[in-house]
Amino acid sequence: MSLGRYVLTRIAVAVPVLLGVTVLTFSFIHALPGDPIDALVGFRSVSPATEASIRAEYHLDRPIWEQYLLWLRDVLVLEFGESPITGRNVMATVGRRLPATLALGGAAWLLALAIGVPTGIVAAVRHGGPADELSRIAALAGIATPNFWLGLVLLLLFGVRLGWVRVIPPDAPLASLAMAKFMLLPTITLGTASAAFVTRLLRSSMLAELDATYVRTARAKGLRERTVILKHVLRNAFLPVVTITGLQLAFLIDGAVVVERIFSWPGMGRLLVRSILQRDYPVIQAGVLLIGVSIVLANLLVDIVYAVLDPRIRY
Amino acid sequence: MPGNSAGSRERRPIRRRSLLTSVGLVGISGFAGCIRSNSVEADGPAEELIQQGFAATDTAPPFETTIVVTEGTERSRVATLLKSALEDTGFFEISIAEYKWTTHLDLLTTAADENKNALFMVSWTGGWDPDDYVNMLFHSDSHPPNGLNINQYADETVDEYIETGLEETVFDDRVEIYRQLQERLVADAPVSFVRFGEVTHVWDADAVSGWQAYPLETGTYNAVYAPWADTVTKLEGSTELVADLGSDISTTDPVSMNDTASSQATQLVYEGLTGIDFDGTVQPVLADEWKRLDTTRYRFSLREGVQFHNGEELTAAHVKCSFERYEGEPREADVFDWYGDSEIVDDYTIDIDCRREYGPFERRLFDVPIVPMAAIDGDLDLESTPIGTGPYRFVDYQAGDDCRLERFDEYWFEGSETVPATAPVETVRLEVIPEPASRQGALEAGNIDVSYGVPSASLADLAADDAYGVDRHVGGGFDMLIYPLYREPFSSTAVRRGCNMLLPRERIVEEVYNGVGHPAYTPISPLLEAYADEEFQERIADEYVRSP
Amino acid sequence: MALLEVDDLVVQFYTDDGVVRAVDGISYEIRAGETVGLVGESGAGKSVASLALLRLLRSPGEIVRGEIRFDGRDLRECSAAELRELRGNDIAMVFQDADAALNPVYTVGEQIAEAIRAHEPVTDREARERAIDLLERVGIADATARYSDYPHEFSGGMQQRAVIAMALSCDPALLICDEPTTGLDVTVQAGILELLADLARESETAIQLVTHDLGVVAELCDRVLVQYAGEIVERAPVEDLFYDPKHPYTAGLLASIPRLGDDRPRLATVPGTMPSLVDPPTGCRFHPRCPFAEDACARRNPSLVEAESGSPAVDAGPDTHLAACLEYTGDLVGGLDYEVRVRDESEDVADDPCRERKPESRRGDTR
Repeated sequence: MSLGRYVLTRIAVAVPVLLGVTVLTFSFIHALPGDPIDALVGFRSVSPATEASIRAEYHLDRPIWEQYLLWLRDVLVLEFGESPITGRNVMATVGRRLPATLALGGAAWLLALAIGVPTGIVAAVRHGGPADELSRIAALAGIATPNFWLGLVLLLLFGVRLGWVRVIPPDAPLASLAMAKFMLLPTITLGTASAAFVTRLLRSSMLAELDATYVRTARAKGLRERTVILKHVLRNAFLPVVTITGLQLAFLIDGAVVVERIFSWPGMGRLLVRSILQRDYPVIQAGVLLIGVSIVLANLLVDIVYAVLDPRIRY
Repeated sequence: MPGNSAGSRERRPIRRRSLLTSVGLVGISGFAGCIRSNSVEADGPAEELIQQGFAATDTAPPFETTIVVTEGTERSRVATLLKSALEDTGFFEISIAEYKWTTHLDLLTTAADENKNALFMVSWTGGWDPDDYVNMLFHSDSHPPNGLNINQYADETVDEYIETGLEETVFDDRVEIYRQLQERLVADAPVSFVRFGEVTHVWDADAVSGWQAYPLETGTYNAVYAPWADTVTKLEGSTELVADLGSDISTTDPVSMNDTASSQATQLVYEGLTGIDFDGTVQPVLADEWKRLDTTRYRFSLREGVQFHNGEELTAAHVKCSFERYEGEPREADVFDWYGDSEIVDDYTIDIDCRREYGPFERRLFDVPIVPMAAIDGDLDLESTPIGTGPYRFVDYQAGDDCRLERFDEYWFEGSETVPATAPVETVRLEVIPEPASRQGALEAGNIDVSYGVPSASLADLAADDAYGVDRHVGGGFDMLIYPLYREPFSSTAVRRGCNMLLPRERIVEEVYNGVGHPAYTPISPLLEAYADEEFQERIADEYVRSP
Repeated sequence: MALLEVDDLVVQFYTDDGVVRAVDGISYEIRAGETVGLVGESGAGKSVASLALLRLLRSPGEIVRGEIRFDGRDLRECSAAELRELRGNDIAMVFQDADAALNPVYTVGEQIAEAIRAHEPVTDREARERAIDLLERVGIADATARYSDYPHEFSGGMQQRAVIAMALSCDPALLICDEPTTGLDVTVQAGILELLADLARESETAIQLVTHDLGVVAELCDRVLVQYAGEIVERAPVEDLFYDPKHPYTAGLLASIPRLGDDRPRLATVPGTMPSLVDPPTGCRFHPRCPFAEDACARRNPSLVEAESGSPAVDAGPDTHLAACLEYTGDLVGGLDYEVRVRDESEDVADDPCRERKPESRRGDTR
């Protein structure tokens, strides 16, 4: 099968998964005890007029499957209605926070790869040597350090003691130098554990691959050791890393809640915490749905990258 | 808190005198000496009470139960101290469960219905009126979901005190009712009051002067500029004050605000007819004077020449419509717990009719901002564009993000000896910093000028440092331990009284909160001095809590 | 001077159980253009010896002694860069299990072209064209299209052909084939053998063929080395070896070759197992399995000598028949008691590659 067809197949498979995500998100409000209207108004008493308008907005007078379809139709055009708590457009609220979270998660993910890949390679190639030992200790420390603690230590050291970076985000757009500088510490905080994880995973998968016969073949051909490692071994060793990376994204979003708190980062984590506290269900629903979709899309991307790296996957 | 209005409409006045005399009956005398039961020896009056209650409810020690707290280091340390104090008696075996806040709340509201065997640690925040500290927690109409009477405590006497207290307008009589009510609650001990909170503000002493800690969190930013409270903050070398908020602002419309951050952020934007200053005294704000026409009718005279941020000029119609705008909204009870009707006498005079005699009336007006006609007509959406008469207005406001307030140059105040007509602070930036350690970091790094939420552990150091100013004040909240009244052995008053005597209040304040806060024996915060002054607290503590 | 001269090569593995001498002092030479078989059971150290030639051993394997001279240069003295120059260019390897030998994530063509690019200043296009030629040469139909196939799209036989094409890409002087037909179907094996036979015949490339399959040796080799427990126990031109095996182990190996049309009950293998190389037997390493073993065999390790004269191997020419058995130094009392019987041609199926040369051990009879 060609790569193109494979990608199309994966996308075709992702569609029902995405629909599943929407069904789950939709059911979430209906699964709460009582009338869904209670959830939609955050379990507060509202005037009959408000209630009627919310019932109409969410089509609560229709059969449930029809409610779902109508809701899905709105969701497809990213229309989530208004929050009963803040009275604001839900998509606008979520839409401003999602980029911040994705930027942080993406930066942390890149950092994890930027640190984890070279370290993992060196550790595997020099395995048993001091570089390997050092990386092992560093990775253990990285995995064992709670990101809450790491974040605070970094913040106190570089923000307060040394004054190199701000403790709270600057008053600047997301895509600006000032913001990029500020994002360094949260990125390190969030990415460290993943970097350590990638290091160890890549090291062990490289070690397994280094013993493979094709590596001996490559060496016997007279290829440079660099080529053998970077071209032949790495691509194979990278496959498990790619697989885990998709799962790591969910992990990163989870970690983001803690990091967003320490670094006062206006991301989805904080929004969701606020919404859950206030039972702002439409916002929770939209947030969860968009995060779910992001994870599904990221995993689709992972599947495609995997197939690009490993032709056997394309069957 | 909404929802406490429905039931109270039907409440009848009670014969107060007979009630007051009946209170003495609930005192419980301890048994002398040690009594043995099921191999646990009762040592001292607290344990004797517990033993008596165990015997009465046929409970064999040790009784296994759980202390449920929300996640957090401080909470879990408090729970550990409580656990060891109760386990030391030999009557209890206690585990600790920590839950996320929302899960905790769900557990709380269903605890009684599901007969949960658990003691809950809960914080409660009240305001400037004694009713705030008792109605939602102890009135029998406040069982969930109508209120937060978690353990479904029901006591007719308590209900009647709460109702009469609310409708009493003679100050001394009110004080007496609430003192009696508190004593009754402590004697009956449906919950144990553990600790009163404290507000602690810290600021950069080089940049900020004149800052004061407002006792209630929602009023934090009155310190920036509140001429009616004789308060003004000055800045050195800057015209922008950067301060913090503990969480995102969710809405800026007063009729739907239900979180602290939103109230804090709009404190400088909206104004009501009255204000309550830093000492708890009611002060005129948009009303320059008022008088009581009869038991339920008041006449307010409005300040003239007051402008809204959108250019409207304040009239009596604004007041009437602002009140009536609450109908059917989430915070309906803020107004309709007392509001009956109002009559516009002229542009600057309005008569307000309460639908019942209402003790907290003048204080409640502080929490009811007067908003412009544009909002009342629906042309203006206060949820995203807050407009009031306050000394600052919102600029470039994006929901959830940090917000910026700008001085409103048409503000009505004309200056006094102590407070200038123009606020020295031109702009106020409120940065959302949820993590206390980060707040302290931001303050120390100079990213913010003032914070009301640095960790209690750092306060002593900051107070000793000349670079920082610190102001502390007892606040409007308390922590309590809620007993599962609906289950044996906690159905026994003796058991609860005994437990109440054992709680290590001083240790909790000192060891967990680093001396921030005060041991609590009664529900009403000493912030409301008349209702809960030190002498009263001491008497209650001596009589019901401390071992003789 | 021979193309390849291996002198007293010792390879050790450091394992948890102890030091394993997988190759223990072997010496041999390969002349330009000739095909030399290295045979023995699994675990005899044949593959290790082959990998050692190109210094492809991975830790914990290590060459501890000996010389490997290729064109007079000691490979053990070569720098990494010099070694890389040699690998694939002068000495190429064909590994067993072609499926594993090919990198699954690159196209077959790319893996061949890459070898060319590593040694010659060619453009990508030239490398590609040469790779396609090579694929054609090793018998891959529709080579241009197959160039872009991934290894998993090739059958086992085609994979082995591709591996051979890869090894041939820079026209090496010496080709080391390590079990090139193991694991393949019999018919596929035949094809590969034919390819190698053509190669041995037509090109100037010398081949070192490592195998446990004497049939393959018979088909392809000019000379044969028999390795047992890390040592070479017999060396002979292929005809001599099959008609007149001098070492009891060789005789045992020959006896265990299955033949078509032979329905007599027989031992499929030499009885017993390869000894542990951590703690090899004293004396002759084969003596625990040898039906002719005497007390002396357990005490003295026989050295490789001319089978005819018993004179030391060092002076012998490459075509001399050598064996390491006390028999040939006159130290055995009982002697070796087996005979080689060559069966009539008509008894065997025509296409059995070993049809004329099957010796048969009478060992069973002597017991």
